[in-house]
Amino acid sequence: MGKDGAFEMARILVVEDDKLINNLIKKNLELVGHTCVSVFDGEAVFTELENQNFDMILLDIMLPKLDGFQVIEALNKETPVIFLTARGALSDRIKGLKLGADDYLVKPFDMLELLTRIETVLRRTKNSENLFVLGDVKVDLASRQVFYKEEYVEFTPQEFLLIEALIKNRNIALSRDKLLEIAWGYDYGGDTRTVDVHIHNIRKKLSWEKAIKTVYKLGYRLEVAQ
Amino acid sequence: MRLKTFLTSYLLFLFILFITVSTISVYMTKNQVEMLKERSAREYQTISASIARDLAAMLDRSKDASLQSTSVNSLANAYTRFYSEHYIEISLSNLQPSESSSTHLEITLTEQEEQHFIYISSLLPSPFQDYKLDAYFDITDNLASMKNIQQMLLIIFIIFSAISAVALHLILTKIFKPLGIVAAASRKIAGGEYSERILIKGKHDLSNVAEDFNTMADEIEKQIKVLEDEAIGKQQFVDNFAHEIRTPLTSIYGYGEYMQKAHLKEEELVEVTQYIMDEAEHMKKIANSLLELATLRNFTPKKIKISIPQLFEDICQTLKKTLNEQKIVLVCHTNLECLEAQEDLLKSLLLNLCFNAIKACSKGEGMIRLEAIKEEGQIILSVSDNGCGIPKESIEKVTEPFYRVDKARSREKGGVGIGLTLCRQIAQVSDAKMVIESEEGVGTKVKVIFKSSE
Repeated sequence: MGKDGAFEMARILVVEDDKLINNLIKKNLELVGHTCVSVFDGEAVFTELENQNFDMILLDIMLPKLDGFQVIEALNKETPVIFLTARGALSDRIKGLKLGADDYLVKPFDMLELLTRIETVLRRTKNSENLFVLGDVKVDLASRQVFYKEEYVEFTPQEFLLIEALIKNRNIALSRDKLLEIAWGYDYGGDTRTVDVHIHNIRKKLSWEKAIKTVYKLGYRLEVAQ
Repeated sequence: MRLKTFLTSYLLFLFILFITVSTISVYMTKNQVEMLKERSAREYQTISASIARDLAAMLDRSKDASLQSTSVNSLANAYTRFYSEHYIEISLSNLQPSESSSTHLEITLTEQEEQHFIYISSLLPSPFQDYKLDAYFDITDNLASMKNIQQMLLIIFIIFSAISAVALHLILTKIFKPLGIVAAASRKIAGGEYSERILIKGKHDLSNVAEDFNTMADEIEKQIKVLEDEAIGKQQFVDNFAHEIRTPLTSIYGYGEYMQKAHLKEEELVEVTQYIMDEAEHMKKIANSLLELATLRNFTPKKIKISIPQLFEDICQTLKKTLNEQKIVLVCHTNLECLEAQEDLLKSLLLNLCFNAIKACSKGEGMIRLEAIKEEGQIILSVSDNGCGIPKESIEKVTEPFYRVDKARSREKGGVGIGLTLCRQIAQVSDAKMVIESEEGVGTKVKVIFKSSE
């Protein structure tokens, strides 16, 4: 695991008939390090599954040839499935979840939400290594420890939560509000400048001045070579 | 309503019955009294004559040709006694010369101590005109029996009133029963059960009302159905429309967000912005089509004579490039010279149908036939292809806005989803009917049948 960014992310099959949306999902997933294969109809799912294994399937419901419900019924239940669909009716959600889906997301969806849900499902199903390496920095997400040049570095809980959020959403700019929400919670009344102070500390302790990029008028992004 | 009718007719009935009974009663009483008077008068004359005869005999027997007052009195007493048994009181009196009286019968009704009498007074026949005979005929019993008859009549009157009340009630119930049914049905219809009808039994005055009512109910149900269908259609349109614009919006928002949050290289930036622009363009097309559809709704075309061969030529020119690309053959056939319609609308209609036909055909194997013929006085324009066809269950729905037989494929080919709706609308404003015939895997034929103008 010499490579930066290192721990292996998931292999995900994106089943969505709208080419642009399929491409959009794929681009976003690849940003945080997942590997994606796109298919555009229900039948193609099974052709792909014959060739390779996936850690997860993102499945639309209204698909040509076989619809999402038919696909999930025909699948072996080993691969986790998240429905990603325009059909928001309660009956559809219930049907989807009853058929064995691990989650159900209604379009239009927020990309960060999709990533979080994927991660949540993966944490349950995949024994992934929780070690993130970038240059001299090593972060063990399981034991919540950070090492710089093999030396343990002390962080406050808020700082660690910020680091974790940046790593999990790497290459995606996170707004100060979003970071505030992740590390301090919704009801925290503080200023967004609190985030700047903590980011400053993290940068300093890990020499991440370049890795954590300030995005103009938005927030911060942890840049990891893809 | 029923109560009012009942009361009115009942009171009227009672009134007439009452008048009749009273008239009969009054008439009978009057008649009876007259009869009694006549009888009494006759009897009086008999008595009077008989007394005169006796007096005459008495006069013959007397020696001095004059009457002894004692013997006259005893005669009078004998008569009085005899007649008092017959409820007649009589008295004979000798008039003083100063007194005068008429020889006429004086008949009056008198009442004494609750007893009713007919009183008759007159002079005896000549030559005994100085004697006056008074008689009281007792008619109390007769009048009492009259009273009885009157009471009887009253009782009959009351019984009849009661019987007629019951009868009237029954009759009205029977008459009003259909009205009640109509009222109940009306209430149900008012409550939203538009399928409610009245069962018409037999033929009576109200069966016409019931028939009319049912006709009205039919009409209401039909109208409501039309309204409901329209409402469903509108709802479906809104649902479809929402779905139709959600897809491009999801892309536009998603790629926008991606641009904002990810670090993009130059070529990726171009790619992503192109997606956003394409989707925006697609939405613009939807907006334009909808606008066109809205404009067409209340549109009266300006009809001019159009040369059909020329029209077909124009269409071939417009489609030439696409046809060549797709290697599809277009055949035109007409046995008509001209047609009255608005040219740009008709052209747009045919072009739309041709584009649909091209989309249905597979590359290199397609064959489209554009035809104008006159059949049974009707002008029929048609576009047929040998493409994939439309599934049977979808034929009726393809003219609905945003309806897609195969969602994925048609969007790929750049359709907005309103083409056939537009075509139908154009046909409608041009006084034509659009008929779609199709068989899956064999092909589709869309006919535009113009109502014969001759």
